Amino acid sequence: MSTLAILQLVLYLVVLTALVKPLGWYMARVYQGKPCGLDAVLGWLERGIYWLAGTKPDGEMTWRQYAVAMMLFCTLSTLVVYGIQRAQHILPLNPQGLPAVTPDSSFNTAVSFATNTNWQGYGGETTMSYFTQMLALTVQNFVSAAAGMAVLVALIRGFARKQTDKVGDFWVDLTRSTLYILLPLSLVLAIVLVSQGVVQTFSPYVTATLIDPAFDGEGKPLIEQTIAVGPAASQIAIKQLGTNGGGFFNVNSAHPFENPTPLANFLELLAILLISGALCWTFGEMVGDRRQGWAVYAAMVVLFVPLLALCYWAEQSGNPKLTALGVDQVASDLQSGGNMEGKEVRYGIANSVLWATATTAASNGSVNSMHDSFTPLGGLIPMWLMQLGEVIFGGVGSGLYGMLAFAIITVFIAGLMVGRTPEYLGKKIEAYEMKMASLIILIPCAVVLIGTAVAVVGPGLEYPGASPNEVKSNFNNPGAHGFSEVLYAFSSAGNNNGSAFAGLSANEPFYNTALGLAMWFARFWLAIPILAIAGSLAAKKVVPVSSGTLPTHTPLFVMLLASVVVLVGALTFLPALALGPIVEQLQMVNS
Amino acid sequence: MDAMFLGLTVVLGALSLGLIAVCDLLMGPQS
Repeated sequence: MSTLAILQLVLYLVVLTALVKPLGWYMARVYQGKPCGLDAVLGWLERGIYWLAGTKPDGEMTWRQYAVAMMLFCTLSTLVVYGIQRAQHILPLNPQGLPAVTPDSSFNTAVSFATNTNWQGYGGETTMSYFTQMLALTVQNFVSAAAGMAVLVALIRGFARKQTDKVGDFWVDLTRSTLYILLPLSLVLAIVLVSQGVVQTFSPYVTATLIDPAFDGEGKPLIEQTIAVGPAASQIAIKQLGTNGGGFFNVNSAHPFENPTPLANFLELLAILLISGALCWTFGEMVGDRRQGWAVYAAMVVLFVPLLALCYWAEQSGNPKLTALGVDQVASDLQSGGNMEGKEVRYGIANSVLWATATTAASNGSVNSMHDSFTPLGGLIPMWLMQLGEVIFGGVGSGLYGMLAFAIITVFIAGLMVGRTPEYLGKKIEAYEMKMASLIILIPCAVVLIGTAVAVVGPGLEYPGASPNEVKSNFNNPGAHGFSEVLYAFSSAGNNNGSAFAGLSANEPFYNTALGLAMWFARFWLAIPILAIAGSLAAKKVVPVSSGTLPTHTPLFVMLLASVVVLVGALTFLPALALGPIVEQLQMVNS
Repeated sequence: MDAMFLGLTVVLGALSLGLIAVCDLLMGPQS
């Protein structure tokens, strides 16, 4: 690893960690209803929203009411996004005259954005009008992220409160998350991104005359190029901060209009993990023991750094088959070296790998390099990061509530070892919490493995609607790599990540429907048991700390928690990974 | 096709409300 690469990676982690406390402190004040500064400026708007919605700032709900409100809101959001896509050809802000999106793609995209997954089977600039991008997709970037944060806050209240059946008000938490956290941060980041060259305009696409004419596949000269533009900066800011990931342009953050400079790249990278990391501090603050928040953050970092280093090593080592052909893959002053296929020369190995691991550790899914072109081992790391349940930072809100479900499992296992009733943060962990935590761990695993199995036994192999002149296969690659592409797609959808291996033609009815179902179950069928745990914990008494209590803020607990995450992920997915990236790595090294 | 996907979305929403009811049932007298 070069000194410059190490410096970049260390700088990233240092700046991220330095921002955890101030942002976490600010978010805790927002959720506790304390003055946060912006309430003096936007308080009138918050009160206006409550007045319109018929709710109160000090409203309270049971976990059931909270969950029903969330489901009604998210189902309605899905229907609205579907409707806008189907009607975009008759709606305004469509200067390119783009037609309505197909029904199956509309369903997939609607579920994708309402679940904070932002899997994109379509190409943004050739499919979505400005109206759809702004009022359907960008709005969902905000509210789907806010819904995840709201569920987390309800769970934190479950730990912090005692002998009550109330966990907060969904509409209040949704409003405060959007108004005081996501909107201001996005506004600042969008303005900085515009200063770096990210486009933000309502103008139609620009037509440029080529200086050096090219030729198309039939040998005809091409003298003009259409350059897609649009209101991108406003979507990109929230797509990173809200761990959404859906790009304005098809190549996502590899596009120079989405990610034009090293500073833009650094800030977007920072935005990917910022809120998820800071929420750990918010958690510690709200439960009254900041050490608990740092412990969870430490577990995330302990898992993240070795996987980042392994991915970097795999990519920097390059492809031995190319080395055998005499290709120079050694890093030098003139080149990054390593496996540069599918990577931007502007970012090199270090920034491509850091982005790939950060975007899959968080449930972000934006990319600045093509994961499909990583070495088999390098591609395994992003895939496994998703399969670990998106709990290493994870999505805003959803990452931490997933990690807290693992913490519940960890204290249960520890309790079994010493023969005592497990406790976490003074709350006894009993059969009901374990059943719900088990559901939370098992549902994404089942969705990924069953979905992949169904796809590769038949329905996902060929596109039955292809005309005789079209290629019927959905795969660009045969064998182990083709399997990896399907496994990656379901790992991404089944953990609400949204990134793609890209070699799979997934914009067809089977994948649009199957991945849509995967995204739905992976999001809401985890959030509902989490809220049930919140309700159950809130009703409990607080058990005083005794000599038999397992301290959950120590390095021992951090390592135990990290080990449980790794063990569950390895035991569940190692057989499937052996059929894809592992066998492909062995083929690359040995053949 | 529109009716099919809109219907599917509504069914998914209804199934999720059903999961809330099941979790509530499992919680039992604790609630």
